[in-house]
Amino acid sequence: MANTNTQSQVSKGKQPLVVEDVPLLTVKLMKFTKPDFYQEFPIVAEPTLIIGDVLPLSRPLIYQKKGEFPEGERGLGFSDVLNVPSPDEDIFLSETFNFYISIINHSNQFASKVSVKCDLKTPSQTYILIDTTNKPLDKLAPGKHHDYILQQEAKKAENHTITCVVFYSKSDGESKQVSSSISFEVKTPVDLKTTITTIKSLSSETILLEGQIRNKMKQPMFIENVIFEPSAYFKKENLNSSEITTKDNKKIMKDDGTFSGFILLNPGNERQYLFQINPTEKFAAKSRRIKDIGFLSVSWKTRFGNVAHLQTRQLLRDIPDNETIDVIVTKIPEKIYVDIPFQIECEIENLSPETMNLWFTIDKEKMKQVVISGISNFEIGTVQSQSSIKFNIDLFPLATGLQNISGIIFLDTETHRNFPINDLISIFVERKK
Amino acid sequence: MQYLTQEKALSLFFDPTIPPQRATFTRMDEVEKSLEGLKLLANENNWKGVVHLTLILSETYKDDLEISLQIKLIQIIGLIKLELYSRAQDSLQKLGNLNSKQYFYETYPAKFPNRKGSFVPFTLRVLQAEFPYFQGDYDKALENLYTLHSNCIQEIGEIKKKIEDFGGKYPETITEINSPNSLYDQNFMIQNNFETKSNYSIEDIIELTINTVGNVDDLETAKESLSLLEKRSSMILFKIINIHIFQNDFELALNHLNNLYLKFPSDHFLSSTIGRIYLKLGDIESAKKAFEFVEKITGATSIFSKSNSGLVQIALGNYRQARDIFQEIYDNDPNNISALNNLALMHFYTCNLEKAIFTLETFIRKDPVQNLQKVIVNNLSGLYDLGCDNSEEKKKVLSLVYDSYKL
Repeated sequence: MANTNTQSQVSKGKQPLVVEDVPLLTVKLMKFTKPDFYQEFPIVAEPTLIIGDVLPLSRPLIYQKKGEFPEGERGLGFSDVLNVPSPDEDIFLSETFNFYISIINHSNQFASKVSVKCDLKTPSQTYILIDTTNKPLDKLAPGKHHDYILQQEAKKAENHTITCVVFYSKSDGESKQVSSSISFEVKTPVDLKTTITTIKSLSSETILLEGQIRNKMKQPMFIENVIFEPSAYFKKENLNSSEITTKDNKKIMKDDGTFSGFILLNPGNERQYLFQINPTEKFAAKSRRIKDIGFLSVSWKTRFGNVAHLQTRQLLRDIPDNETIDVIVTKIPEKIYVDIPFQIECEIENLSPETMNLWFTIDKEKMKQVVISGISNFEIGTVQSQSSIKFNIDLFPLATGLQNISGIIFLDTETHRNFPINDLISIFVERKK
Repeated sequence: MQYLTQEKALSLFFDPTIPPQRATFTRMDEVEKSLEGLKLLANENNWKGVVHLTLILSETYKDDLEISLQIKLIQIIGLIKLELYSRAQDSLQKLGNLNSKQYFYETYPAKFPNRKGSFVPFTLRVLQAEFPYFQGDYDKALENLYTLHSNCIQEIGEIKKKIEDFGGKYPETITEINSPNSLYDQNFMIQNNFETKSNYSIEDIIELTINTVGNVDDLETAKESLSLLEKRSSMILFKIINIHIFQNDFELALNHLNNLYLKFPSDHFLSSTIGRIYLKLGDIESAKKAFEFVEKITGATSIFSKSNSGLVQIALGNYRQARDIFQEIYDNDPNNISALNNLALMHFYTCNLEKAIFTLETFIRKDPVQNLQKVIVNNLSGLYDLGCDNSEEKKKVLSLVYDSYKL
């Protein structure tokens, strides 16, 4: 339409119509991960069939020469043939994905000074993936491609938008640009839940960390490691492997599976890990006041060895605020029997700058299977700043097993502050024979 | 987009000065209306012709029970190849229960005096078992295949007892699945008789789902029957494994493969398959170990070892090395479709989309009759999407070219 008119208009001296401006270049983008194997379902026929020698065991997947039937010959349609990856496949957090930028000159003219600028935008950040504006490509001939392939780690589970702008100049020097963008969600691959239990004993404490990993992807994940990194005051013990002796008499640590030894986590399935954390000898006293025990790190692989890895934040345990007072148990009987009263000796330290007048009382609701035997409300005494005082508590265990002494409240009558203690110490209550 | 005909598509895809090698499709009326003719058509992948001819031949041979059943089976195979699954299902259903009286020799004492057993070809039993997966019901197919497999195992047990009765021994492992022994000799037809029992009646036969190996009068036949049964049971097992892999049930697939490996320790295809499954799930170390077995059997420079190492390089992200390996395999063997396919893919991964497309197109143009495989067409279409401005048109051309070579 425009072409025919331009001719006549120009010759008449009028303004030429603007010819529709078709870009010389196209830019196409694709995100993808590793390839996958091609699979088919071959028909297998035995040679005793009339057409058996034509269709001997199956139509060979890769070989056409009759008489050579390596792969796929026995009903297995799975060989070494790979598929081009699909651009629609989900990308998961911490995976590395590939990104292809294809600049195509589909016109019949040369394009010069071709450069590309590509950025990745998420709600929280923008990264520049590639910027060749300082070093543009001299010329891109008609029908030719100029491609880039990038690798990028999916750092956040958010919506990612990759926008690519390609700058070029036409033969008449005019600067043009063409752009394209793709948008995709980076999904969360796993659910990682942790449960921390502290078991206090007389001289120290044991912390148990349970980590539960659930596969939220549609494909199975091959778990390589689950490691717990303790913080400075602690050391860990991995309760997830046991030593086994292999066939050639070597001793190695093998990860115990609850149901099988196979460390493949199918979609929707969960796997649990248990770690025991103890304070290091040097810090046995100090560690009681430390909340941060360390962090958990999981690394896994998916198809064709695509590596991924997640780390938790510092895991914090729930311990009471120990800024003002500190209570420890100093003496406890060796054996504690159910329904038989016992006495423990405690030491309470005043960490505040003022003198305190401390009283002992209880919160009946919070006392569980170990209750006060005798007076439940008494004065402990006056404690100067930075000093401590010892006192006894009479207790009565109601049930056997591992019990917590809780429901204790310390009152400071000077400031009217109260300090609840819900985990003074763990005891093991037996039955007297 | 202009309307494209097959002719136009062919002219667009192939060099107009060099006419492409057309598939020689013998026309139906040029072919002898006999079993030989049927073989010829099947040989050319002319499944339309096969299906039509089977309609005629089933009339011709309607009095020959064995052959007419085989003709019906071939018709079903043809329909499946043409992806006409509901017609195939109809034909299968028309056959009825394969264990019913009509398929036993004993029902026709005049025609088959003294012959006993079923004349249902094993191929048909397998096809019936696996048919649900052509309609997407993988679980039903698995169920059927597992049943068929356990029947096979039962038969194997019976044959082994027979061998012992004859005073012979059977091998615990079989070294070569493909050993060219008499089992695939065309003249060796498994006799379908079942050993007579004193109070024998057709209704007594409950689980006769396989061409049973009966009439085994001597040790030699017994041993050969055992070998055939082992091959059949592995073949069914491979089909089962195929479905498990497809459904990402890697543990099950690997269990079966490991059991097979114990029986066939020098079968390198098994080890390669095990390695590939480990790659698919991401355990590169175990894949490498499995591939080491392949190397031990075939040598480090065999096609199989090289292809496996190419796959490992892909898993490690070393796409250039992988590309070089597949290039090497292809240079030595230009008919190797899988190496060519993977080579093209590696061109893509090493940022050379143009070359990837060119590689696949050239391969098809070189010998369209042999090289137009579904996987090549699918992969080329995928690359067109990324690398071409007019990708829709190119894909349409490719699809028409593919159709013109598959009848």
